[in-house]
Amino acid sequence: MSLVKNKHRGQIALNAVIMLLIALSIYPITILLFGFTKDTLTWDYNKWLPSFPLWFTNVAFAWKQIAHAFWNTIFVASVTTVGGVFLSSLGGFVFARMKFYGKEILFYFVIALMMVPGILGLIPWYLMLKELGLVDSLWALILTGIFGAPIFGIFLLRSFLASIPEELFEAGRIDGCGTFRLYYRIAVPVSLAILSTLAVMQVVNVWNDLIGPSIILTSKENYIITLALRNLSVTLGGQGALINYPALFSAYVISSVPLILLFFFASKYYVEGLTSSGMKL
Amino acid sequence: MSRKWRESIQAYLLLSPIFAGLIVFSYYPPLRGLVTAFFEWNAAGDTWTYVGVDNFTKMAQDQVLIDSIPNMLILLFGGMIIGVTAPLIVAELIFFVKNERLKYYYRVMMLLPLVIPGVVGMLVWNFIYDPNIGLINSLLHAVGLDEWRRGWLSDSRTVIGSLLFMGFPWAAGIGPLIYLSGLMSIPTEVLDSARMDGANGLKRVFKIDLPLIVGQIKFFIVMGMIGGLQQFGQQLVLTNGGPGYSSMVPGYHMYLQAFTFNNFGYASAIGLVLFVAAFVLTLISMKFIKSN
Repeated sequence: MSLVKNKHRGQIALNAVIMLLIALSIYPITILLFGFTKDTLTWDYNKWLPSFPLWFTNVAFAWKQIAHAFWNTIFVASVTTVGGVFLSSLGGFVFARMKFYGKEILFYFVIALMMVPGILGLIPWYLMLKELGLVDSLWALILTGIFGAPIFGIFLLRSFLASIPEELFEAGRIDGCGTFRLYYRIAVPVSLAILSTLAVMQVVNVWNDLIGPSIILTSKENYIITLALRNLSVTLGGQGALINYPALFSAYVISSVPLILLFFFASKYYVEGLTSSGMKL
Repeated sequence: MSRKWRESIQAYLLLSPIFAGLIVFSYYPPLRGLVTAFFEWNAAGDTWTYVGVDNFTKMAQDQVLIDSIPNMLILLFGGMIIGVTAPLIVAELIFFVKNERLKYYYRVMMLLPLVIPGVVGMLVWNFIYDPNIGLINSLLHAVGLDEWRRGWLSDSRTVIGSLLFMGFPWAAGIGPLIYLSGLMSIPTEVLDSARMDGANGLKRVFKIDLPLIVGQIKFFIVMGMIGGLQQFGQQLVLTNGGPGYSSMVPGYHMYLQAFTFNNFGYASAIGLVLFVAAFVLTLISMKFIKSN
């Protein structure tokens, strides 16, 4: 009897520890949420807890500062994601379902890139884009993103599509489908969930991309969100206590909105994709 | 023409845009880096001059670079230990939870901090460390430890420790999920028979769980090494390698040499050395940590 009770207590303690860890992890987000609707006076008196009424003057100000970069990022993320997911699924299909000479070698040619540390290519990447006239162009980021996606994407899609029963494709062939039709009539529909995973990863990558943009994008009209936020934190800050934190926090919250929406609609795919892709070595 | 040849040509056609892109954006830059490391760029005439191993001998005399190596090693190994163990502890805690529903909620909650962009995460910690009104200094003031207050990122004695501490308790993100997927793929029979043998709690963790998720542990070790050698996002956003050079790392030194001082050849040489180091460390850890 007491053993059962002990076990019960153990579970309660365990859950309490986990909830504490989660609370500590989430607290930085809550600081933002409490802070971004304060005006300067409220902020001076109450930094750590929520307060009413909510003020949105800083939100309007912050939006003006980062709106342009926000739309730039949406543009880069959309084009990169569509292009990258398309190439990944096409490549995954070819490697999973077609028979051709040199298949193994070509496949290693792709996935070997997952093991190449990126730092060696960083400077030549910039020099190349400079020669192509793409410095300070969003297309530099888009092209890099689209053609970077298939490295992991093909790896992910090939193993998934290889596990689909051959009968499904055989039926398509009997119906007279050509190779490309087999791809978009059969391979794409059955892999929609895993393609969503890949799409989410692409968007998150663009939203977190920092070093590449900081090299390539030189004028403010072309900044993407990471650069705009870094810039804003410097221009609004630098004077210690005089930093307009509510305005900064507003910018942080606005820039998170697309990721929040994405998380809301696609977290299931994201969790499943990550756990099923079997990341281990 | 045989059927396989016909299909091959079709496959090559479908793959050609992918491979064209990979060659230009993924193969060409690092290969060119191998070459530029032995050249130096002249800004005035936009010309490249072959300088042999000069860039590498220059590195041996570059005091800023040499002094940045210990910083990198502390951040690399500190970050790796945190990156391997913290998500593992969290994953084990969640794995011990009996209620399936709570288990699922915890997994989703762990991902919640990912909804803020990485840069915002860093900037929020910048605020937590703020010398005047930051959370840490406010807490220290509240408990009467005013003499401990400081600019955590602007004090050369605390900057490295503060960079490591960022993200505490390091429980959020995809790390715990990757471990959990490993733990959940342990067959129930194995766990049941362990229980029969009296292997509960920590004993089971060390005897059963850990040996079965070596693959995941290895993944985090390798990622930690490759990342630790190359990363300089915190320097780029928060410290600029300072105060002074107290948070400088070789990767950021390379970045500044290239894009602030236009020493593209010298910077490529630093990149090449970091690349080789990352590659060797990866091979070593792949070889010495066995997994099936």
